[in-house]
Amino acid sequence: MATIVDPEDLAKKQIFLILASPAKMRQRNIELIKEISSLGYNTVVITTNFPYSVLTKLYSDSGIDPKTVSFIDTVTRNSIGSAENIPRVVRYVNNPTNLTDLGIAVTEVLQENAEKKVCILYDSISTMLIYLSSPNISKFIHFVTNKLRLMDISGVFLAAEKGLDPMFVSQLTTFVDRVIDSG
Amino acid sequence: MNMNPLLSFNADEKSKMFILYILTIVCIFLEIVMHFYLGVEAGYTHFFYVVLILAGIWFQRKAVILALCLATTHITIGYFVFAEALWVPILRSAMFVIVTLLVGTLSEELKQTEATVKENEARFRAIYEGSNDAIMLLNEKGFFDCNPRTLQMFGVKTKEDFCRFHPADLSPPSQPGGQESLPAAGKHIEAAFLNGSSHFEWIHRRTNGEDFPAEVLMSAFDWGKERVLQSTVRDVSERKRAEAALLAYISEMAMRLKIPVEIIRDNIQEITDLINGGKLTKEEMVIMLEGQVRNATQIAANVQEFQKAIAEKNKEIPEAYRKFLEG
Repeated sequence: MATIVDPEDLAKKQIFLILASPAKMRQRNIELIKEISSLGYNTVVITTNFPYSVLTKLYSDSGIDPKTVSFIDTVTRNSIGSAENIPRVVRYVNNPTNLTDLGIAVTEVLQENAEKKVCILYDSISTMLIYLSSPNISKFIHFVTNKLRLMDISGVFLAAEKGLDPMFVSQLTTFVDRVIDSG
Repeated sequence: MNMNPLLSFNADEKSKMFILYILTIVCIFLEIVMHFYLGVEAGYTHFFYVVLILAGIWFQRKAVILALCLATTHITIGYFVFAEALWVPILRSAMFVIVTLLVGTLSEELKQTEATVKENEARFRAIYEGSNDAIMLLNEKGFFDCNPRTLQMFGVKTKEDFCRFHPADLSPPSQPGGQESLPAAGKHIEAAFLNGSSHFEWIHRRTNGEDFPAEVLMSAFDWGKERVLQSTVRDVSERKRAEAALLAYISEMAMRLKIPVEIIRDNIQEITDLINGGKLTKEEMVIMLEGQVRNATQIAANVQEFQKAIAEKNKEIPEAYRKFLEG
């Protein structure tokens, strides 16, 4: 079966921008986690759309071992006000616009998983457009990709394939190693 | 521009009065000597016309007063010398007054015309010199005059320096469409001479090498026996920047509206499916639905923020549109 991400590229710690049609974003998310987990990676999902609790259920239903996935959740606290971090499982960020906290969370989670084979999945750049301007998103993605390269970790950024400003896409393209249009 | 050299006589009012005073004395002297003592009736009175014409030119219709004085003197002396033929000095005196009135009236009209011409000239010069657009004149040989804004716009020190340039020298080698500036400039100039005018957008280059977008309007007109072009160059950098900003705004706006709305739509669909599948707890439903409400609220806030930002940053947005943008 064809994979979205080439395992060899993943092994080379490459960084990917995966474009998907808006209706298939969740499906792509699950497929990617399945693929990455099957290759022995622990996935750190940065979710800006669905809360950790729901994603865990969806992953379990899709046969993904929840132990192989940890989360940085920017949704839950923003909705219910408070939620306690669960070490090595989920770290909550109050608000997706708070890039400082998000950056700190990414750094800390990556340090926690330093001994593991880790891949980051960022879901999604498109949702971030609700909260941040494209230049600010570009800066943040630049920060995260730099961090991944310094720590020698591979990463996957999901984005809706249509509607993005070509200038914005071309800027994002410069931060990643490969752009994959998954349809 | 001098319409009549006599009108621009350098003597001031007092010296003019003094000259007329002396000439009037000469006239009276001639009247006494020639008319009264020598009995000469005509001939010498031609000199009176010199004084009266001069007075008419200098003081316009006020000179009639002097004409009346001389006429009275002439009639009075005529009355004593040629009492029986008084109609002759009366007729001659009437001519003094009529000629003075005529010259005075003409002089007055001439003066008014001159004032109008001077005023118009000053007005047009002010427009030319004070225009915020670069205005330059060129004939088939090249530039021969320009206003100060032209020098400022292109960074040239003097008119003489500017007139050495060809329009293509003040442009990059090629224009945005890929056409070379030199032949393209020649075509526009030729079209303006042929059709009377030519209006086009152009990339100009200052002498410091900086390019700027410009709107150029060339109008042909006859100047004396020569056909010349007035070229008006307007630096539209600000407007172009505003247009680019507006385009960027629209692009960002479209992206930050279309994609998020689609995301909310898909999320709600997915939430519905999850609820129908009985996979969500009540708390999760609340979290997810609140998330979508928050997303929608944020989109509305984004629109408002965009509107304010674009209104503040772009001065060239029409006032009505600015008010709309500011909400």
